[in-house]
Amino acid sequence: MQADIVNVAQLPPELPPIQPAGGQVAQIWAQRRHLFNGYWAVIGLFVVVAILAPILAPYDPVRSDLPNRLLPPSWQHWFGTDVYGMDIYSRVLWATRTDFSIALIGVLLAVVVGVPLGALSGYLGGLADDALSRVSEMIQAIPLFLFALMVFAALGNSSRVLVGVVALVNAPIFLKLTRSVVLPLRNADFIAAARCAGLRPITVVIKHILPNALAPVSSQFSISCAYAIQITAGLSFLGFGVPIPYPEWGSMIQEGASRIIYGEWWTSVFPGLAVLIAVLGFGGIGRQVHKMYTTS
Amino acid sequence: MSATQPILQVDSLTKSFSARSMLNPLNVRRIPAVDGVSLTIGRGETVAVVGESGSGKSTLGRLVLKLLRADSGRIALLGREIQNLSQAAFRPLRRHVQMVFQNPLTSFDPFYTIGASIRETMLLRRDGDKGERDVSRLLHEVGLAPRFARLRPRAVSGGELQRAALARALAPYPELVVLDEPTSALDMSIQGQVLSLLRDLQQERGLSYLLATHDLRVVQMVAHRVVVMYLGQVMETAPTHKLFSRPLHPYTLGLFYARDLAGRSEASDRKYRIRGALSYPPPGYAGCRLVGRCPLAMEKCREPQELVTVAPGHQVRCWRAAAGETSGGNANAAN
Amino acid sequence: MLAEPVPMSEPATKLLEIRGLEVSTEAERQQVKLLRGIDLWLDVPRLGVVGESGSGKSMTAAAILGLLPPGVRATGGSIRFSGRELTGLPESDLQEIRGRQISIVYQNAITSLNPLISVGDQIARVCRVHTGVSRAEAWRRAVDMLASLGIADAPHRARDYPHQFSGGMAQRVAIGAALICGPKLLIADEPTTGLDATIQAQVLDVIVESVRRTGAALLLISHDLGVIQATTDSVVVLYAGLVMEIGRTTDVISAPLNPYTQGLVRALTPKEDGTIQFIPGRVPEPQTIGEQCPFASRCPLVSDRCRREKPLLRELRPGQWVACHNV
Repeated sequence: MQADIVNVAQLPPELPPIQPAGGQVAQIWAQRRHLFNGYWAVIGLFVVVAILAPILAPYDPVRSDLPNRLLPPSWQHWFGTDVYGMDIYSRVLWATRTDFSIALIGVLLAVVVGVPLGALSGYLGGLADDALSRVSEMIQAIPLFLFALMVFAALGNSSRVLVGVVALVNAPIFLKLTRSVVLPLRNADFIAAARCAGLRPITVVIKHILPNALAPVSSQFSISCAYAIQITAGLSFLGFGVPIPYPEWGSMIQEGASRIIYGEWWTSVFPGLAVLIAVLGFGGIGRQVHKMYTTS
Repeated sequence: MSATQPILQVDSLTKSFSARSMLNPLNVRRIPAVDGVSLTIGRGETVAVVGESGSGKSTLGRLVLKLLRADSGRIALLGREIQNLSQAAFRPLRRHVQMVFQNPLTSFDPFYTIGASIRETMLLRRDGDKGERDVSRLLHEVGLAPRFARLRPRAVSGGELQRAALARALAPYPELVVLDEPTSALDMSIQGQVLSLLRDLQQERGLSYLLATHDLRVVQMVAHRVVVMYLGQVMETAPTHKLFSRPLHPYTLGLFYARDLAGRSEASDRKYRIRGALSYPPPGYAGCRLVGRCPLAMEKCREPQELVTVAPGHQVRCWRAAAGETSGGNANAAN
Repeated sequence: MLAEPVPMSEPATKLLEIRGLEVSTEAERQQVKLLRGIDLWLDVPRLGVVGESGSGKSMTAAAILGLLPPGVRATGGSIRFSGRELTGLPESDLQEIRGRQISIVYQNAITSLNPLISVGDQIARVCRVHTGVSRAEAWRRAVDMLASLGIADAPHRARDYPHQFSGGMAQRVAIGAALICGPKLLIADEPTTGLDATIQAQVLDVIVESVRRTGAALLLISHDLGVIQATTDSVVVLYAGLVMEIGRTTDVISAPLNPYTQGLVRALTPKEDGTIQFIPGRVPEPQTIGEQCPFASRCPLVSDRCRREKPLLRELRPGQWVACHNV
């Protein structure tokens, strides 16, 4: 079988080569700066807020002030107060820490577990591939909340377990994704060339397969973070994960949900908006990262 | 290692792939990609393996490089048997044999520079430097400027990239280079340049080549001997000038005939033209695999055919050819 | 509109006539010419276009059909089909022409066929879209077409899917879809590249036979002079977006006048000792060729004028046109 006729290169011979010898990242930064836009700014803002929450929050987020409960938004309480009199603005700021750290750590764990297993699964094939694929499909087949319930019932109700749930739910996604990238790469000529150079299989995977899997994994990271925020908020809404007084968007929404019919909308809406904007922000970043790697 | 010892010796090599039918997973067909192939390559010699898709020429190359594991048979590289070696045991021998792939663009990892890829293979060297200067020296030998070491594969044209692939293959000073259709992905005007480079390098360094190709012009330009394969079997083998002046096997004649598209006629068609399309023989069939497509097929062809020596160095697997019944030499061979 | 409309009184002489066609793209804010003034005309049943990668042969075919890729536009010249100007036509008019009056088959047939639809259906759909006949009638015609293209057991094979066909057979299906509506012109863009040598001859025969049978003209694009030699009456030699030579195939191959054509013909047949006479150097990047002759960097006859001025086609012998300052 003949390959298609290779097209003549697009780089003019007179120009000196502009790619730095190392890092693809440096090259991408130089060419794609315009893609770092609003989405990154939003998430960046959240990260700053999470770090600086103790300084930015005007009130103690867990100090109850019953005489001042359920006050609408005002100059003293920008987002109003909730059922226990706690300042919602401060709680939203502090909750950024909680939600972001659970989401980021959980997804990071998922990547650390899922990507290497996926790479091995794709590269080795055979029994290992079958076994790993079936296990991840089993996890994915169980409805999220049912799965979470099972895990919480077995391991107890705490934020640590919540991180574990986030990681467990996302790991199969990364496993399957990495595997699907690795499978066609396995037969690539440059992989054969690396084997001809005497590289051991593990070296081939680390040096040649994983870098080429980098692109889809990094855009998936962001999307998984968005998913993780939703999971965190959703499970906390149901009472799992973060215990009651600690500020967390989901549990805040849950507390305020019963107040909406009384017209006290601010208790749920502000944390809800925070979740919405965070999820949209992560999703947008994911798309931008995907664009960075796919347009050339 | 004596001076007359062949660089590569292959005996009765077999490799089959199993193809599972999608509809019926229990229905597994064994496809004989390489079926009892033997050949020898001496020092400074080029052996061309000619065949179309499904012939097994690419598989043969990959078996020699131990990218695939042979089912049976013997491979001796520089006198040492390698077919049963594990990957770990074979690693120290990899510096003696390297490969150049068909499509240069996919044979380099897009994540690394050309220099980095060359250096990776250079690590197989026992002694000698493995630094940047040596990369430049290698690039110079294949006619590329040193600046190519810093470029990524995408930034380089096909012909240049194939030269870089050659430089990478030569990095550990191998005795044997396996080339899988090295010029078929390149423009016509560049093909000749790469082939000329191959010849020069062979003369300078005493390299041996195992060249898989379907293009008879390539064979004519660089090959000393030719092995014609069809569906995994050797159909004919001869020194190049003999094959071109007196091709015997109907398949070889068919290849020559198909190449000269303008000089055909009804009469020649009936004598030389290979009909139909490739089809794998049913399991249990041991006769000539060209039956059904061959213009000279007869009932006796369904019996197992052996390779028969008809002249020094010239063997053919066809009873009719061995008996002189195929009119060798008329099918535009001298073009 | 890029050219003046044809006055109604002038008879349409040639089926296809391209004059001064320029096609450009934007690269780094600069306009880069990919086709720099193509002249070609179809006055024989089978015309070949030969060139290497970067010569612009596929771009020419795309321009004729109005299928230029995004970012690439025709920026000058005219394409006349049966006297009708094709450049600047709205998409709706072009859609009526494609498949009905001008058809194209591409290199890798398996990828140009829809893998989810049976081959008979694909051909029948083309037929129905352009002629509006009933499903049954379209199917009947599709099966007839497959049979005439040499596909055995056509009524059953028509229900099979593209992946069940080999490369050569799939290309026949693609040819069938292209010819089902009886177009006046069939463009074949590298139809046999990538196929085995023995299959290549078969498919070329099918193409030549079917255009003869349906009365269509053939525009065959290939990088292989051997293919051109076997199947065409006249040939156009392209290099880096410019026509180097046009003439009868036998004349051009036996006595080429343009230095590039001479180099191509020389590379076709190996010398006595087996070496191939190749053309040194490489095809230049489109953005580095200004108004000069694109072959100047590799031409044995190059002079100062070649580096300044683009050569125009001149009829040096009856029926043979050459673009070169120095012959």
